[in-house]
Amino acid sequence: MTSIQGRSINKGIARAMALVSATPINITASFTKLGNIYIPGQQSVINDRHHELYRENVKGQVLVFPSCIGSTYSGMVLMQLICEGYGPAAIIVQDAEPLLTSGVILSDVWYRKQVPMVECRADDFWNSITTGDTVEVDGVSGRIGIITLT
Amino acid sequence: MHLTNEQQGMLQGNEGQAMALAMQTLVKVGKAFGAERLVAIKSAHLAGSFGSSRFKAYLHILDQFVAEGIRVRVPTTVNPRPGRTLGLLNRIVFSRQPWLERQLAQLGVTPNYSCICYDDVNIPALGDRLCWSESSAVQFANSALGARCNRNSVLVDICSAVTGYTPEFGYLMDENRRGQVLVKLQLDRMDPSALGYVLGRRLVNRVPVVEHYDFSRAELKNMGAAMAATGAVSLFHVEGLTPEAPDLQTVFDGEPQDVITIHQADLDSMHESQPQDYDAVVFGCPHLFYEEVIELAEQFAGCRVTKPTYLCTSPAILQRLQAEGMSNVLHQAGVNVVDFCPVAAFTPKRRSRVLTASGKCHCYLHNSEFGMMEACLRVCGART
Repeated sequence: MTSIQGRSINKGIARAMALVSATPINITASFTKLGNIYIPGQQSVINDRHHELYRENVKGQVLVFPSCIGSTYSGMVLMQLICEGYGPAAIIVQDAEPLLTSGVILSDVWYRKQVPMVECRADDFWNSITTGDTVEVDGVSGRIGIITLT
Repeated sequence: MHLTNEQQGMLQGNEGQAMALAMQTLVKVGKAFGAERLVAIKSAHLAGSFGSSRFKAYLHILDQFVAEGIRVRVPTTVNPRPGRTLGLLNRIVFSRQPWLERQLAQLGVTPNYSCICYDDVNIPALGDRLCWSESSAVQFANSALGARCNRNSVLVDICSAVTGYTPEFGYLMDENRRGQVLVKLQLDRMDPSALGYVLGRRLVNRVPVVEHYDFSRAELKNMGAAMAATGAVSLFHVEGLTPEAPDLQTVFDGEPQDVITIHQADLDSMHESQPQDYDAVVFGCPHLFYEEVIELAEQFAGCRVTKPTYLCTSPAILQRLQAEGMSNVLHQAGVNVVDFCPVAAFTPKRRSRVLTASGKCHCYLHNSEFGMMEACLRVCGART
C-alpha cells in the first residue's frame, strides 16, 4: 500500500474504490439534470455531457478530481446527495475550493453526515491513482492510502 | 481562529440553535481555508432562488431559520425566479417556489429576484467585503467594482447574511487579488462571451489580466459570467479599465506567472458548427442590463421573429420597459421579455434545442448551442 499525506478538509474515514478524473467537475451541471431528479437511483450519475466522467455514478466511490468548477449551487447539490445517501464515500481534490468544501461541511454541521475530504497536491499521488484502485481516506489526519490491485 | 465575544456567543447558542449552526458552518469553512477571523460584511446576495422539491435539505435549513424568527443582518438580495409558470413541467419541478419566496420574505431578503443585483439595489463600493454566492455577480463585484468576495456556496451565503460575518481568506486578502496570467488578444472580432468561456476552461481558477480592450459594462458582465461558469475564475482584471489594474506593473506587482495568447480560431471553435432547427433563442444570462435590452430592441423593431425568442432581464428593468412602452415594441415583434432565469426555466424542457449568445447559459443548458450575437439574431429572424 502506498501512503500519501494530504491536508484534512473534513473529518471521517472511508475505504472504497476510486473514480478518477483529470478534469475539474461542475457539480451543479453534473447532478441537476432531469435524469438526476426523476429517475430513482440516478441522483448521483454525472449528467454533464461536457465531462469525461459523463454517465459515471459517484455513489459510494472515492471521487478523485482536480477541483470543482461552475455554479455556486454546487455545495447545496452535493449536500443533497450526501443527505440522501447518494454521496461519494470520500473526496480527494488537488484544490479544495469553497464550493465543494461547503458541501461536505454543510452536510456535517446541519445533518451530521460525514464525508471525509482531503486536499492532496503531491505528484506521487496524481501519477499513481487510477480508477478502480481501492483507496483509504482518513479525513482526520489527512492520510491517503492506495491499495493497487495487480 | 480568533472569534470576538459576540461571535463566540453566537457559536455557543446564545442566539438560538440555528444561529449556532450558521456560525459553526462559517468557522469550519474558515478553518478549511486558514482564515484567522470572521469579518463584517456590507451585504449578501443569495443564489438559492429556485424552489425545487429536489433540494429538500436546503429547504429544511431555511425552515429552521424562519422557525426561530431569524432575519438577515445586512442588506441581502436574491437570484432570479426559475420560470415556474412556463409550462406544466416547470410547475412540477419548481412546485416549492411560492413557499420558498414566503420563507425568504420572512428572513427579510430584498425581493429583487435578479442575478444583476449590483445594477440597482445592492451596489458595492471599492474594497467592500461581501458574502455573495451567484458566481457571475461575485465575478462582477470583484473584477468590475473592486469589492472583495469569495465564491461562496448557496447556504453559506445565508449563514453570512444572518450572522453578518464571513471568514477572511481568498479574495478578501490583498495578496490573492493580484494578476497571475497575462492574456494577450489576437482577434479580428471580439466576442466577450466566447472569450470568457475559453478563459474559464483554460485558467480554471487563476486570476487573468486581459490586455487593454475597451469592454462595456455589459461585456465585462457577460465575459466574467462565462469565465465563472466554465472555470472557477472569481476575479479578473482588464489593463487600464478595471479598478485594480491601472497598469500591468501594479496589477501583477512584478511579472506575470504566465502569458497566454487567445487567437480568433480559439473563439470561432466555440460557435455552433452547423445551423440546426432550434426550438428557442435565448438572450440574457446573466440578466440583460437596460442598455442591452435597448440595443436588442433596435434589432427587433419592425420585425417578426420566426422562433420563440426570450430576452431575460431583471423584474425592475422589465417594469421600467413596460412603463416606457418599450416592451410593446418587443411584444409586437413576437419577442418574450421575461424576468426569470433561462437556465432554470429551460432545464425541465430537456429536449428543446436552445441557441444562445451567452457562454454561461450554454455551459448549463443540456441541449444548447452557442452562437455569435449575429447568428442568434439571424436564427430568430431579427435584423442583423
